[in-house]
Formats: sequence, structure tokens, C-alpha cells
Amino acid sequence: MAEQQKSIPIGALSLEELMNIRQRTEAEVEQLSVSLEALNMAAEKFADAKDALNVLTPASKGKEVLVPLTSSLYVPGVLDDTEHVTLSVGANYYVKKPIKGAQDYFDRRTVELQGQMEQIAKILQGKQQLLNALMDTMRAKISAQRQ
Amino acid sequence: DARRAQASMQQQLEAESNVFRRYQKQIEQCQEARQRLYTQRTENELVAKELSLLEGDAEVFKMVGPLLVRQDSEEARGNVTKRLEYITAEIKRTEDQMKEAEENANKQKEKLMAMMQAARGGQVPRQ
Repeated sequence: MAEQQKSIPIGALSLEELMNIRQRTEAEVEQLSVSLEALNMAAEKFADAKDALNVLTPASKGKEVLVPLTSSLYVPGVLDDTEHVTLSVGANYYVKKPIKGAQDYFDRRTVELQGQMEQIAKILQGKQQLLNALMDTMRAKISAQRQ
Repeated sequence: DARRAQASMQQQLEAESNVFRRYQKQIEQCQEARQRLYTQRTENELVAKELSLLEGDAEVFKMVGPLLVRQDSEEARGNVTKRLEYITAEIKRTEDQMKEAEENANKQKEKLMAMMQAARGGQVPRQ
């Protein structure tokens, strides 16, 4: 991960060096895109979870539900506590919170994710610009060679 | 005998190259381990933050196999803190290992280059 940043103007680099950097940058762009997508999916999950909370209202207390024992086996149950949910906070830890607390949690995590996505999007943009500059320089060098 | 000397030099070169590859592999393994540890650290930091935001009477559970087991929130906080300390120590240890492997690899690379130079030097034909 520790790479030396070249502060050499890219025009001064040989075609081979340019191709090298281009390959590396393309790999980085690929990785960043994958990360961005993963963050996006995580944000979606939190949004879905927050929506799911809307099912639990004081009116739904006592309603019948189907409780999954496996992915294809359910048993009938009754909604008892419609004021609290137990949610996963990571590392196999779960916390019981009132509905409002759970909503706050999802909001908090979503905001964090958005911050991270913005950061990555910025870095991605920078790398994309580098890629474009590299391609332009390479094209110029190739056509200069042909003359 | 020039040919025998050359063959043995080839063997030596190959042996030293293998040593170099071994160091490179070590570096790679350290990088992978460190990446895993970084992920664990981030996850546990998140948990620590959530646990610190809890109100006094909030219920905390730990998933042990298929069971959710009730834990005292103070105890949970303590456990997560301890885990974070362990992970941080492991990261340091892995980084030290990686530095050592990198130093070994660099020394080995220089050794190999010197050997290749010497091999080339012995091949200059006499005019």
C-alpha cells in the first residue's frame, strides 16, 4: 500500500512507465468502484431496515405473525412488544432499543456511509482524471514516435 | 571447467531467487493479514461507539452460536475494548513482520543483482 507518489510531470515518463502507471491506476479505479458499490448496498440495507420499523405500531400489538425457524419453515406467533427492537451493531453484538433509538441508529449509520461514499467518489474522480491525462500523454507520444 | 562453473552458478542463482520469492510471499501474507485486522478493528470500533451511546438500562446481547445471550453493558464495553487492544497489538506485530520481510527481500534482491552482474562479467569474450 505504501507507494511513492511520482511528482514528475507525466510528459517526462517513457511510454513503458506510462503504461505501467495506467495499469495500476485502472486496477485502483476498479477497486474503488467495487468499494463504492458495496457502501451503496449497505446504505440501501439500512434504509430498508428503517422502513421495516414502520410495521411496528401500537396498533399492531397482538397481531399474528409468521416467525421463520428456517428459510422455509415458519411458525405462527403474536407481536408482543411493539415498542422495542433488537438490532445488530456488529461483531456479533446486539442491542435492544426503543423504535426511536433504532431509527436514530439507522440514520446515524446512513450519514456515516454517505460521508464515506463522498470521500471515495472524490478519490475515484481524481484517479479517473489521472487516467485521462495518462491516455492523452500516451497517445501524443505514440503519434510523435510515428513521425 | 567453465561449463561446470556456469551450471553451478545457474543453480545458485535459482536457489537465491527462490529465497527472494519466499520473502515476497511473506510480505504478501502480512499485507493480507493486516487488511483483515484493519477490517476487524473498524468493526469493533463501531460496536464500541454504539455501546458507549447506550443509556444505562439498555439491554445488550451477544450472539453465541445460534443464541442471543444477555450481557451486562459494562462487561460488553470492557470486552470490546479488550478486543480492540488485542487487534491493535496484532496489527503492530504484523507490521513489524512485514518490515522485516521487506528488509530481507531488499537485501536478497541486491544479492541477486550482484550475482547476475558477476555472471555477466564472467561471460565477456576475450578478443
